[in-house]
Amino acid sequence: MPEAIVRRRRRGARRVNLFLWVGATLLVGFVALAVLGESIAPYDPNAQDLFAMLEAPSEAHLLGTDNVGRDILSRLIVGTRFTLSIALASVFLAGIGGVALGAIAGYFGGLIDRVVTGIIDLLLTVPNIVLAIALASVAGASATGLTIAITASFVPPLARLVRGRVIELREEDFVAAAITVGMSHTRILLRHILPNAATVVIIELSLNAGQAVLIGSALGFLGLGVQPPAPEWGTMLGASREYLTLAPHLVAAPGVAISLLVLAFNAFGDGLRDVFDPASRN
Amino acid sequence: MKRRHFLKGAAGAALLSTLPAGSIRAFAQSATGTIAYGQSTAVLTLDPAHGAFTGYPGGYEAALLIFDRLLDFDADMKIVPQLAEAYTMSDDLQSCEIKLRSGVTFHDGTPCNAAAIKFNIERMMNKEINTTNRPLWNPIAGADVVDETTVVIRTSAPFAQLPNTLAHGSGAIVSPAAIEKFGEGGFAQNPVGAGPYEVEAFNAGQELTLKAFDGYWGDKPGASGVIFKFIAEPATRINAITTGAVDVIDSVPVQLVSQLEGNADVEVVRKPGLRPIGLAMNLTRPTLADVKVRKALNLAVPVATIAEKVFFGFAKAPDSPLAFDTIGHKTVGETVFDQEKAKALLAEAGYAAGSDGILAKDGVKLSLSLFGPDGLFPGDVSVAEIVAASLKQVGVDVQINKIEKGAYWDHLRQDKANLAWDLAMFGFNPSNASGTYHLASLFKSNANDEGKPDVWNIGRYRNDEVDDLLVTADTAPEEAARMEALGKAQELVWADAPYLWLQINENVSAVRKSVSGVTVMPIVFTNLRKAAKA
Repeated sequence: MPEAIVRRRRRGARRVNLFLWVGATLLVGFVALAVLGESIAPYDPNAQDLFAMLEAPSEAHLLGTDNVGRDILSRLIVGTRFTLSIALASVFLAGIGGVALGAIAGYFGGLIDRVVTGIIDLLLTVPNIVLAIALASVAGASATGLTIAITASFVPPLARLVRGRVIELREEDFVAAAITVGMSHTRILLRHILPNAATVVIIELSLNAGQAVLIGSALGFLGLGVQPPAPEWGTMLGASREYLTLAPHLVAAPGVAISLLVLAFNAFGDGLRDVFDPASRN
Repeated sequence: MKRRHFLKGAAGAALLSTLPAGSIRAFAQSATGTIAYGQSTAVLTLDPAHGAFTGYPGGYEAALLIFDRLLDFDADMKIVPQLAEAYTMSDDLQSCEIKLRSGVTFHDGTPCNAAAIKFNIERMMNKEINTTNRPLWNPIAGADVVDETTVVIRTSAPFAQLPNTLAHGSGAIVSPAAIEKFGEGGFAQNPVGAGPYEVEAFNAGQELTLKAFDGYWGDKPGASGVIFKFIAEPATRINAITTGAVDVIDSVPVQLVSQLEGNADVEVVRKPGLRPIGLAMNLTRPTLADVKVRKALNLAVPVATIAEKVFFGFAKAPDSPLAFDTIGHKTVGETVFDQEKAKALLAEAGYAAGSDGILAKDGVKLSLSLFGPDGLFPGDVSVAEIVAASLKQVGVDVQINKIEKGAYWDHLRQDKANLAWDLAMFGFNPSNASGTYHLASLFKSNANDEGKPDVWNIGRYRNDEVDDLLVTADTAPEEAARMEALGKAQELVWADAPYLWLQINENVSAVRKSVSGVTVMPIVFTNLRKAAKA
């Protein structure tokens, strides 16, 4: 029997590593692209050549040129920064907001809980696309608006998750002990409860990052993304859809890039979950 | 272990990249003699009053078949008689005597006589009932019945464009009996006119079925019926005409025309539009108040190349502030691409390049904010990007501000104090084809430049000479004198360069070869009035 358990765990461990490593490797690659950007792009991402538009991939332009004759590979590389920073910023902000709301609601309970839960439920009823359109109409399309819209869509579910975990932890003996020795609420929350809830938050956020890329790209696709000529992937995808039949490579390049980045985040998140929370594995 | 997140993400991304492919539903095969028209805009209402025919231009296209008007535009936007047999403008341009065809009846059998025309004119004059196209109807003061087939329309001031108003889509003559029957609120869904086709079934927003009107006064309609189907996606429209599900489609995106050109059953029909696209310059800014700067900006953008490359030749560079087929258009210049000359002009205006290559004068950088919509004008974002990159080449910094479609017009028509843009993409479509109407709408001085623009003079252009010429163009008794004034006004406006003139796009439709007689009018409309199907 012990032998069988060990073997199963080993097999599990191999799978965990695969996901984590694939995700992590891809992410490191994307981060490197985002950081290096212009310095490794073969062309200026905004340099146009009207006499070389919609060209198919060639040696000079590895991924071809777009509808105003810009090098797609260069735009893709430089665009990594927009897509990645929007995703990471929104996940980071959502993490702060969601944890704060969830922890306060779960820990204090009572009226505070009811009010916060009410607000969360209210927010859950507003679809993020609608929110983003509203924001874009008021503030104009911008990376900031996009980040706010995505953040707003992640806060409510995260707050609910954290609240549940905190309610669970609040009943633990070590919390009771901390209360008995007269620790302040802030200290108990920060030192005892949140560290124990961190795993859930980290896993959720890493999975959210993939979603953030997707929502950000979708909003960019709908024309609510960054201002032209900034090469954000979703915006690139949206601008090239009219040329789908004429020059399919225009759509393929950002499409594949978005898929890969989402894959990276989700594989990484799944891998993390397996590391931190082996119990959730079937 | 759930892999749902992972799968959902990947599948979502894949879906995103294939979104526009568009699948076509099985359209019913069109019957012999019935023409099916796949429209890019839905027909919603069919009343010339109460907001006019909507949506634009779909409603107007349907109205062309259901209603006759007193006068009509031919394919080149010349005004020709329709319900009127003849018309005479008085010498003071304050009245117009119209001789009607006799024996014309509406679809409901009631006579379309002088009394019906008087009813229609008075209905369209009424600001409460007719809320749109007001500049076309405001000058009209009344209509008098002389006899059964003669009516006189009076205006409060000399109004040379009266025939244009009567020929405009909103000049559609409706059946007074039907207004009585369905009420002012109900007519839009139950339209009755005197045109070659009458309504058989109308499902607003989806489908409008018309059948030939047996009692039509003119040539017998060329088809037994016409069906207007709303097909929003361009790719779906193209599929529909390729498979024969529809016979006619409008608004073919220029980048998709090549798909149809190889098809032996389909013919592409094209016509330059009446809407010149350009960037209005905010003349309240000191930089742009300098005509040298404005001319330099015009020289720096390769308009002809944009027309040729971005629009695949389905656009042309302008030669006047008016489009080619606008009534009164005169060739007054040409767009020139000469960046060296642009740089020289900017240097002459006192600008010198700073360390970053951006021009500056007295320490102030030549940095302009370009407002443009996404999807209101053909290729708007691409054109904005090209303009920005071209101006950068002569040392002008341009920041593009892409505005959400619904909010765009509001940004343009602002008080002087709230004008956030230096350059704003704009195109005016003179729906009555009158060059005087077009120029007056865009370049007649505003009564008060501080407030909102009176019509569309959003850049606050002001030239007294142009104002005088426009008055002459509207009121001179001799047509030749009116046209001369309009030509001179075009010269002055072109020379002042209050716009960065861009391209004039063509309207592109496609017709199956089994259908003949479909025309594309310069004012956007795809006209099926004379269409025939064997």
